[in-house]
Amino acid sequence: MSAILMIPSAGVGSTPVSADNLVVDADQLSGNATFTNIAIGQDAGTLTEVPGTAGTSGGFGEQADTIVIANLRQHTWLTTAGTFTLPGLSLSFSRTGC
Amino acid sequence: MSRRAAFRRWRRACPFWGGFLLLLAGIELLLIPLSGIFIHGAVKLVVYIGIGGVFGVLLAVLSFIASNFGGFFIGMLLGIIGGSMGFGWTPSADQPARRPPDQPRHGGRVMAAAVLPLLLASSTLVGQNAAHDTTAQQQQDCILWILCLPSPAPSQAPSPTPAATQPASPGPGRTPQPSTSARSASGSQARSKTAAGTPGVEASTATSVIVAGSATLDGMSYQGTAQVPTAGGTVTMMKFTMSSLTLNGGVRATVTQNDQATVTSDSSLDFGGGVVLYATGLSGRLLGIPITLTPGNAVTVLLKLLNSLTPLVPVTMTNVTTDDFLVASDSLQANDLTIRLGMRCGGRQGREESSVTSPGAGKGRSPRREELLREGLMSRHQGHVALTGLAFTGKPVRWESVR
Repeated sequence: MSAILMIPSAGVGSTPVSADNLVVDADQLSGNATFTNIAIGQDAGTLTEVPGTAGTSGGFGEQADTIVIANLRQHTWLTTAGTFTLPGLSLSFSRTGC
Repeated sequence: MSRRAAFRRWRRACPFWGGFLLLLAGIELLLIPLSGIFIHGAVKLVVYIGIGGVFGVLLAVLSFIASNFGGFFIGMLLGIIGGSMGFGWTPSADQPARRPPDQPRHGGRVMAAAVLPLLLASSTLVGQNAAHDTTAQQQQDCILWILCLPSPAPSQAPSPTPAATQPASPGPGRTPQPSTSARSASGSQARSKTAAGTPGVEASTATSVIVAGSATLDGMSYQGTAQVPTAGGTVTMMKFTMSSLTLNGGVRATVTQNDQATVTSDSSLDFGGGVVLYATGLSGRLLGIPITLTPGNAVTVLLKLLNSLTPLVPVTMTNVTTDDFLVASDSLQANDLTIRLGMRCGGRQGREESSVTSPGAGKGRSPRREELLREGLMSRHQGHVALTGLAFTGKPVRWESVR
């Protein structure tokens, strides 16, 4: 039994990766962030920014119209999106880590 | 010329009695506490002399809450009367150039000097009653009355009166759902709709607290208490509006729900444009003086009274703690943002992360993921999400080998 890492990479040159209705499930995130029209502390069950996606009633929620994060690092468990556009996608496997 | 005549001449060349009473007020306020508030009193004394009548009166009123009930009323009353005299003072007939010759010596400004302390005193008393009475409309009129007094002093220019009758008008393309109204209100007139009105946004029931080394509040106005709906019934919160709010120095927001904490830390947080802040508690130090704001306490009643004046002065507080916050603004810049989930009070986050990525996590992952989903901690973005310098570090996705 040994772990194998899968390392996807994409977004070459001037063509960025894009996604819509992105949901990132992370337990750690860092960067320099700029939000517009932000609300923090709202009931997570009443979030409206992503249609059909809301937390549990009473939970601590936060939403914004836009967010720009520079130097983002996040520790994610799950990433889903309606559409992923991954120009220049490559997949590699490794036993040693990044 | 005798010494006495010289003294009289000097006395008439300045607002002597007003200044004298302010001096007495300062000394009295300074002597009463004798210990911890000593520095505070000294600062105030200097300020009295330096700024003059109007600020003297305001600070005297502030001393009611800041310094032993205004030195048990005596210092506060001395300050109010003295400050008013300073404000109402005009040069005596020795310098006729500064007053039209045909105007009587004791004109309108003397009247203003007499009326000002009366109004302030009455509004303070009304403010005390308001601690038991949540309808705070009367005091608002009081403070506006004072501001509207006919007066030549530049600081008494009529302040912009909020257009409280303007209903919330949601922006184009935005459905007027309750949960968005706080944000649409933040950019419109509707945020001056205060106190009695329900904000229309539902607050989380999680326990949350923000601490920061310092907070700078620009254009701050306390709008009174608001009944904010939550999933567990309404909660009484204080409502503040600001043109901007800057938090610096180890900014840390901790949200605790279901026995698990999410910690967001930043080197600074800059809220800009139509900031609306709800909180159940706000404490910190203002000019070194510890103050605590809770819905309906004496400090907030005073802030409500002065809420057309407070936007004029940027307020900087240190060692700030904000409880159960709900904040909305047009923009937010978060520098060196880090959000961590599952960090408990003991700071075990490193252990927890490694434990969930250890071999065998394939089995444990699913419940863990369910937990994350339940916590409502998924990132939610719409429209343009610009991620620059994207880097997956650590162990983003890990599959167990099948053999």
